[in-house]
Amino acid sequence: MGKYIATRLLSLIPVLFGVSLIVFFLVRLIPGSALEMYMGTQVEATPEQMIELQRIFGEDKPVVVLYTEWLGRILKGDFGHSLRTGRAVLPDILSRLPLSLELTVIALFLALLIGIPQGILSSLRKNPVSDVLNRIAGLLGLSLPQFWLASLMVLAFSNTQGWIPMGNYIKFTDDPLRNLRMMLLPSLSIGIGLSAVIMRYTRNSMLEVLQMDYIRTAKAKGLAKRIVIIRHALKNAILPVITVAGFNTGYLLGGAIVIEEVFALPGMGRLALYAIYQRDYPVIQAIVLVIATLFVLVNLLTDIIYSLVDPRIRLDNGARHS
Amino acid sequence: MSEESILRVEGLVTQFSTDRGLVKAVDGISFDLHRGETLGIVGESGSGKSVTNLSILRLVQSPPGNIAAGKVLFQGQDLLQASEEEVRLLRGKNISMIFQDPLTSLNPVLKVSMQIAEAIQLHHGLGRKPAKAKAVEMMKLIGIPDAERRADDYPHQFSGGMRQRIMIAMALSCNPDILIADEPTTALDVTIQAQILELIKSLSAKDKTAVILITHDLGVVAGMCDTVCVMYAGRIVERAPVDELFYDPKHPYTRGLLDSIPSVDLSGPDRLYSIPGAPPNLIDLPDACPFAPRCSRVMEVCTKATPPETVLDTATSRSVRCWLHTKENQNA
Repeated sequence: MGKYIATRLLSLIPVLFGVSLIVFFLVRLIPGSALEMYMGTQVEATPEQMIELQRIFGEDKPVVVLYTEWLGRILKGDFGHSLRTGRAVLPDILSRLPLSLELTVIALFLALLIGIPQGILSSLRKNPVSDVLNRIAGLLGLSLPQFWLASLMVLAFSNTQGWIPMGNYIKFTDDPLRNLRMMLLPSLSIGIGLSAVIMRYTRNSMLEVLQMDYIRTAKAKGLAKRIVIIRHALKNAILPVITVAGFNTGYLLGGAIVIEEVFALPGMGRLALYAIYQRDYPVIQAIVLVIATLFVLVNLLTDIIYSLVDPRIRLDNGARHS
Repeated sequence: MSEESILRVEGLVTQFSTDRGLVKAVDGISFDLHRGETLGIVGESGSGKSVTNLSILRLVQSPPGNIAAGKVLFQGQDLLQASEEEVRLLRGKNISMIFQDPLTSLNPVLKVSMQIAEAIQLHHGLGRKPAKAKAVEMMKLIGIPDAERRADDYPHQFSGGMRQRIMIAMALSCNPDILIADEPTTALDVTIQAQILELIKSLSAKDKTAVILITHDLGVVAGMCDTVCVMYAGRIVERAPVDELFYDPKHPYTRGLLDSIPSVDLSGPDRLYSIPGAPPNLIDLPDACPFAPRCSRVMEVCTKATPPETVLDTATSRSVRCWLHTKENQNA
């Protein structure tokens, strides 16, 4: 297992290199440079001043040169400074990362909490009406845009004290209970789409597993229905669900960007959004690298969990056969 | 066979509703099983052997399956009328089953000891630890080497023969009155088959467990069974003590099955015989002998009416369902 994890962590290097390349050139394709955004349309500057400003904003050299310089600094651990605030990029990101992670983790937790039991129930129910209702709910969950759902929630709960953060964000470490209450609606609006996906996967997987011979064996042993379903069916049916949940966790992190804006949460997503508005290249680049790293780590974690649940999967080639 | 029967099946009918119509997989089956007896149920695939036995424990998937008529009397109690909970508590304790493919019949993500122990835990009310100890004991009994260490292994870590041994350990762990073995050796290597059958035979003899052995292999029947029921198209077409069936088969289908056993004595095209045609479609069977289209001795009456069951010997309850052997035709 250790060897496997080490190999996977090594694979981070080419991934991050590729990501750095793409993001560096992609952000510069957005019309309007950081300098133009800074100047606006009203400010006049002399040619000498413009040259000086271009130097400050890093627009005086060819992009390829800028990239190699940036990469060189990154390798030394220097993520640069924000073009707008002049502050070091990395500490800013790291201070906002916990909020986004918390949002993602709660969203994932809620998605599993809603999706898995719903999926199991709908696989057991033979009632066509409730099945159709379930499908509709699932489809709605999938197709409703997160930001719209989030806006509705803000509208509906704006008069209820403490449920909508609105600028007075409280850290988990300061007051866990109030923090969680504040995070519930934002997490829900991100997680509800995934809960629909998980519901569908759980349902289909359960329907498949319930046809298996070993379920018949379990019933033939006289086990109660509850045990047959939880111990024998769900443990097998959960495998594809783990894959899907793991795969989507990365996207939840992306969803956090929009939702943090709607609920005015000071997370990494919001930082990214404003960095994009202002073409604050160093900030955007660093955030994308952080997200890519998280993505790889989440996928690694998924594989590890998978191997723990399914004994047939061994991450190292050490399986014993008789 | 003077002993009272432990299981009596009377007029069992099990149907499946499909898109194309109602399939009568089991169509009025009756038989008796006595304590310590081994009853063979023989037939081609699709003849209703497995469905009959799943019906006994009410394990037929419903829908589409449905037990439409009949009685299954276990020690006098009709299991088809009993509550789901009553039947559930009989499963694995009084009547247990072994299935064809041990790889798909064992849960891939649970340790084998756990899979054996959970029935013991349930039916004997033992705690987790004593149940596991009993499971390891069972694994030793059925001949799994190094049982203590292998107890925490998963099914995929065992060979096919060993997996089937685990299934047997599971089925016999609660000393059932009846063991239903549904083609227990079909998925195994020939070399392992004899071992597994021997194991079933010796363990069932020890506790006087009655065995229903479902198979399509007449060789297995000859070696294992006391009585044989031959099934065709959801019905028992012939019932006989094992020796009589082999030496004096009455039904043309039974004769055909016996002739289909490859023989090394013959050579040329006679060496491999098979019954011409295929089993009938079980949807909307006409009122006729279902074997008539394939039968070499078909008569006019065979296509006009279903043959009744003719008892040939009440002492051994030998019977046959064929127009050749009805009382009228015998006298004629």
